[in-house]
Amino acid sequence: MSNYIAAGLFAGLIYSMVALGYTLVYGVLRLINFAHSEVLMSGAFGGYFFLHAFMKSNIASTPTRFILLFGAIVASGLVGAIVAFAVERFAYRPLRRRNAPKLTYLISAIGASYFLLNFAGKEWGRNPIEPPPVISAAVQWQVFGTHVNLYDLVLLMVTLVLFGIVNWIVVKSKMGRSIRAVAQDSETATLMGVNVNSTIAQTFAIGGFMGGIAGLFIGLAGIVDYNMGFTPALLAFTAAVLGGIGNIRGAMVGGVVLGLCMNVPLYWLQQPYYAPVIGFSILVLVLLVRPTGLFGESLGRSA
Amino acid sequence: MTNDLIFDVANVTLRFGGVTSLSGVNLQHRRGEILAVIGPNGAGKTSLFNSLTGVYSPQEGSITFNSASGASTSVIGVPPHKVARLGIGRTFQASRLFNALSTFENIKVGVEARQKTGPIGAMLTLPRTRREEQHSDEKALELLEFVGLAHRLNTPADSLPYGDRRRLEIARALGTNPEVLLLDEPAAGTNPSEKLQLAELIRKIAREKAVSVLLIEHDMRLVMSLAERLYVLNFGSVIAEGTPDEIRSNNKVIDAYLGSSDAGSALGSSDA
Amino acid sequence: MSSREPRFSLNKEDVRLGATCFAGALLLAVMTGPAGTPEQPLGAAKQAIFSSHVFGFLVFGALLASLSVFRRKVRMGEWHSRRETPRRSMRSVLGMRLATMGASWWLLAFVIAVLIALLLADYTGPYVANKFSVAQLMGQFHNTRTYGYIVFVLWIVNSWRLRFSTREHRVHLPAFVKSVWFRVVASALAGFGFALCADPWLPERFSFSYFTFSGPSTHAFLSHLPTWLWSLGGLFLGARAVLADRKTSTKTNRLRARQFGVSTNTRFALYGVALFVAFEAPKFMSPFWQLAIFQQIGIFCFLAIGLNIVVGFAGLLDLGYVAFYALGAYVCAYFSGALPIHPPFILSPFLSIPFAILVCMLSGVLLGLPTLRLRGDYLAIVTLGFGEIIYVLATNLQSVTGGANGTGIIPSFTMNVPGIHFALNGQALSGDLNFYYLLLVIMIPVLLLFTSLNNSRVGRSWAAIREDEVAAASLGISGLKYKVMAFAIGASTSGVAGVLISVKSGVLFPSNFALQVSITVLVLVIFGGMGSITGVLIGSAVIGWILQFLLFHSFIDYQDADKYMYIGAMLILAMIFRPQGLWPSKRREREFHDAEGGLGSADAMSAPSDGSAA
Repeated sequence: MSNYIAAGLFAGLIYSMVALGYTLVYGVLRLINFAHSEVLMSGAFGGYFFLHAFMKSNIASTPTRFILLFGAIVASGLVGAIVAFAVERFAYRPLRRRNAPKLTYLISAIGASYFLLNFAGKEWGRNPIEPPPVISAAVQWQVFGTHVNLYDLVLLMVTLVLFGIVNWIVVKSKMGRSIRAVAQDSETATLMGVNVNSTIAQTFAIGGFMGGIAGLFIGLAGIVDYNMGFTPALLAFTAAVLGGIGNIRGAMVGGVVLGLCMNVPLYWLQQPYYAPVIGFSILVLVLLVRPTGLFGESLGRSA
Repeated sequence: MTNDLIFDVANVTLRFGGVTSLSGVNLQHRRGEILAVIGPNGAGKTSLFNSLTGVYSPQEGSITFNSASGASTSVIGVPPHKVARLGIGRTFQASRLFNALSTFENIKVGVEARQKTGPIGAMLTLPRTRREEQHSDEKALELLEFVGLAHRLNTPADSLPYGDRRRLEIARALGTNPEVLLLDEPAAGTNPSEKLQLAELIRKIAREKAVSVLLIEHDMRLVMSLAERLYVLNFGSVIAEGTPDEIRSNNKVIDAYLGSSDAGSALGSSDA
Repeated sequence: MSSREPRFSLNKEDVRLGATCFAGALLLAVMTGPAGTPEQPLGAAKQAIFSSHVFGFLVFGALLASLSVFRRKVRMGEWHSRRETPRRSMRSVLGMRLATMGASWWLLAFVIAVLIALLLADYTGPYVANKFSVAQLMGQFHNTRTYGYIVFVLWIVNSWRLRFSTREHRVHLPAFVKSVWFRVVASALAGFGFALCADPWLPERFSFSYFTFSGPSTHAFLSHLPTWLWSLGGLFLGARAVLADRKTSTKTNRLRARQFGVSTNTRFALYGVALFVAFEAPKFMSPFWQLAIFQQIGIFCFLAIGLNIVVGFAGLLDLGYVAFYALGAYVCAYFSGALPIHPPFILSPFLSIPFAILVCMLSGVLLGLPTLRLRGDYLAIVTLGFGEIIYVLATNLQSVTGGANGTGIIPSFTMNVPGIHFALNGQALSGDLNFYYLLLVIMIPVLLLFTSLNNSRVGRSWAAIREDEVAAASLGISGLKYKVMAFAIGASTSGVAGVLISVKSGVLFPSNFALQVSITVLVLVIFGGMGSITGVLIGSAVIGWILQFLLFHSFIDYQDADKYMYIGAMLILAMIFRPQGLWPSKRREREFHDAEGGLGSADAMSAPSDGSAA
């Protein structure tokens, strides 16, 4: 049982990182960024290529491994941010300039998602690849009757640090102020001298940074693959809705709650493929019962 | 025996968060009457309209709609499309036409909202569908002539001039066979001659179609000449009620309007 | 202003535009380049750019850049086009010319029309080494179908002429042409003629020996059931047209005619051509294209007209369309006893269609009711999840669906009612061709049904909801009801397509129902033109053709899975440059235009006013 809780918790952390990307973009644009799943994927590939290039042998010393891991995290975050920025630039901004209806944004985001997905598949092959073992699986601790390994610990720390940073950015910094202004009322924000276009791009980049790192962790836990982003992104969206889309704290909590809700029942079901089914049912249930989520919507007010 | 009041609004209070938009509003709308609600900007006129049509649900009070058939229904908490089916038609402050449809089709949508043809009937063009289609065609043409837009039959709504848009919106609402028509600033943005035509049209609706009219309007001259009775709203509550003459000499009303640019002159000029 | 010579100067915007085109061309080169490996992340891209492969694309990019810069300059008024007169459309100029033609010009027009028909007949005819030789072209006169093309080309030209002609140019026909009997008999004859020209069972060359009541099936034209069906169909249409003419008042009739962009006459001519080509052309295609048409384009069309109801008519975004396709297919498999679980009774695939419709409609309503009360984009993601769940379940529930190994064998489709003996793999035509005609026979009524649906009260209510849901509610139209209706109709169409595909393929694998199918169908609808049935069919044909074409050509390193990359790129480009699609419906086009100008919306994405969410 405690194994399932731990698994749920750590899966939930990843979901909450991804959910943050959805939430931020939703907050400023009122749109679901369908291409976010490919941000994950490209982040994972970014991290993989970094490790592939610099980690020549499997037996590196511990400090070297930590430097490599840090490098991979930064690389995947940057790649994620760049891809998210590019998606905004090419699939969203031309439409915004024309004041296009909402349906067209969704469609062009899906197009971007499919393009990136299969472009990666073509350029880097369609077979799953295993990233180099940068985090040793041998280091383990016994906590509350379950094994927690180094990977989980690093994930926990990275998530907490990143959430702290993003929260600081949105609440305290100048950039955050303009993000919140755009989230509340983009037209008024324009009048107040906020550059809406660059603010939106920054929001995409922040979400992409988190998404890319989440992608790296998904990859490190298993495989890197051209369509690895799809299911986690769908579940992360559920997490965002669960916490209240457009709400940063909601994304964090929603992710963890979702992770637990999905993994704990597996203790009884024993069939891992039920996890997405449960996640999806939760999505429908939340939409049915409390569509504004646990913490309510609106980026402008939440922070 | 049918009730003499078509709308009976009692003690309605509407709040948004901490803001009170309407407080303790009482309003009686008699059947067949042209009733106007006036008041400065932000007085809660449109909120009242939205409460009457089910868009907002007031927290306190009651709104009863008495139909000609004798049925009384509470409007509060009923979704807008069901309110519309009770026999309440409305127009909007900024006209909300179906812009890509032609004038004719706009009215047809209104007429057909009351019809019964479902998807299967529509696919197979069953006899009933054909009958209903014929009926809505005729009714739409009749209404177009009634509001004087017959020459614009096939014009898409987005290329109509402003005054025509207003009239089309009224015709569309009339298509649903309402017992009462709620007009939200129908004359906003129209020129003087269009205003005259519009006043004539509203009178004609009340007279020929036997539809009660509830009107929000800023143009005092129009309201004073058109309405049989007026309610004056200020800061969400009714401050005066009566015939145009009574309102004109009501001190509270003059106070409420003092300072707002059009009020004094509008109230004064309508004496002429 | 006008006297000044245009000067050649580029500003920042122009340079940016050019650079974008150039970068696009490079990207295209990489896209069409070789596949790479994870060992060398940039290897494939390098190979594509630093080899001769790139040259064609560079030229293309340069052309595109100069063209778009030129277009921009002309648009901005920096360069004047040579004609200062307002631009007249080519169509109207040509139409006017046609309308005022004299007799000698008519002769020329006739000759040109015949030539066009010959070329068409030849192009769609059987494969020969030298298609466009004179002898080959002249040889087309021996084929009956050539005459069909001639009639249709003339019909289109004439209806075009009629549209622009004024009263004095009109030819006065003898009085009897207007009589009821003449028109009814003429339509019956037209039907007969259509059968003669387009009957897929006839051999290619015409001979009078067809006109027999008995003999081998390829010759007994008069004993052929389709012949009489077509004639009857013609008779029915003619009678209906005459009756409709008499019944409706002229005023509303005129109204209806003017709601369409083209005249009724032209529309019918175009429909006629489409039907004609659809019936006679596939017979002569090379096996490769036959397969493409039957397996892809046909079923694509069917799926697309169903999704068009959801996306085009109701303005919703449904990404789990494939789920209903899978449901329909598995229902069919269930009732034919091909699944590990056994049905209470075994049905022929044809009879399982109603069950498929029922199941899909129900699940559509169940899925739609909770989600459609919310914002439209939630529907997109919920359906996306639903599609994935169905896929996961189909793969993993071995005891129900047979899992990834596929179902058992679904019996082939046969029908034996008096007069019709149809078997998918039998008789004169190959299995593929038989399937195609089956599809056609099912699809044409569906098309007619959906067209009348769109032109009815229901269709107008959808348009109203798309544009302004609040206003629609103020008239008493329930947004939720119509959205669920559209969703359920779309779902059941998809279910029927599922039955058809399961009959065709014989065995079902979950991989047939991956999410990509939904996206592909969405592209067909978007590319063709949301809300326009004709557009959607054209979109399906064009995209189906492009995908097959890519498979065909070796200068591109192309695997089947790569097609989704092109599809994704096409979606973005379509949304940026032509969101209304290739052949948009007039209504939809206007909506997009209005929405961009801030009037109304073009989709049903806002939260409905009668939903629970405020």
